[in-house]
Amino acid sequence: MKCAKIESLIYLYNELDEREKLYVDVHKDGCASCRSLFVQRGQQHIWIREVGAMPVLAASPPRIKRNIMQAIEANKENSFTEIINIVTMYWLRASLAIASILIAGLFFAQRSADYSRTVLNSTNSVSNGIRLNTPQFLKAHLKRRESANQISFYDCLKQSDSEFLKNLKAN
Amino acid sequence: MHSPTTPEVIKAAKAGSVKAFETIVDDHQVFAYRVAFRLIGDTQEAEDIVQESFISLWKNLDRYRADLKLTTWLYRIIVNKCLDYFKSTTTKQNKNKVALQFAVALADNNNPEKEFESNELLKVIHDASKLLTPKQRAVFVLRDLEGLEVSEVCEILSISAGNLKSNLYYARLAMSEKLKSFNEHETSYL
Ligand SMILES: [Zn+2]
Repeated sequence: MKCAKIESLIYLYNELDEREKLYVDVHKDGCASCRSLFVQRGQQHIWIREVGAMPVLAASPPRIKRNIMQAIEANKENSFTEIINIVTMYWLRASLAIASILIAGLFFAQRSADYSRTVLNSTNSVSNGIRLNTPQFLKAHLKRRESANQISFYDCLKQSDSEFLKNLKAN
Repeated sequence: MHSPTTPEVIKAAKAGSVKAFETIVDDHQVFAYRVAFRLIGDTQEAEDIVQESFISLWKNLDRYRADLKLTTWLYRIIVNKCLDYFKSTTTKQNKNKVALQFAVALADNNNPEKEFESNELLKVIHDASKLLTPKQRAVFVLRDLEGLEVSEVCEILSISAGNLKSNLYYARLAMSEKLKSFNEHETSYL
């Protein structure tokens, strides 16, 4: 049983710590079988190192190097193009974002102007018992738009309630 | 053995210098090819793996940490690519057809007996390697043929010392069984 354990340690002799090596050494000094395996393994280790020192089947270092460097140059060019693409893409994104914000801003500015006018008109109309989106309401509204070329947009907005209601009732 | 690349060269290559990287290729390509060839046993495949490994090294140089040796990192890339090669289904089908060779014996006209012995030794090790799993072969190549330290082999393969010892034990046991016949042949000459 002890020999079996020692044998497995002999295969890993170079990886053992000093205490384990001593344990193997003490045993093999008194055991011919383990000593024989130890000597045999020592010889085999030398042969394996001999093989390790032999050159491998010829390759072509210049060809390997050329292929590597070509691939790297190509990769570098690709990386440069990639950076340009990213920069261009970000510029494009930024421009689109700014344009979107401007359009949204214009939309809301216009909408708020329209809203204040509509609220003014509709409040007046509702308070005067006229329902919205009825032919009566729209007619008055259109009439007011027709006269818009005579007065400024600002004046139109300022048009007083009474004036609007006068138009409304006249129709 | 390969000559170590200076930290300045590595730094320049990290900064994107192709010239500096060329120096790294010069310093390491011989050992890189030798390891790939010993693991794969096929010149063309080994060449492809070496090329892919260096390209991968170039692409990931910015992630390189100075506390790890560049050779260790390169070994790791190569060994992983070789292990992936063994895992691929097409390779599994052709695995037995691959003529595994660890080295070539140099022609020695002055000592034909020595040349014969070297060829015999290579043949025995070649036959024994067929019995090893890819991991056992990797451990055997790195530790016994390349002569790397245990800690470095563990780092390359990302395994514990215990795992390394167990793989190394089975690899050496298989080698030893085959080499016994070589032992007998050798002693018969004495
Ligand atoms: Zn014993």
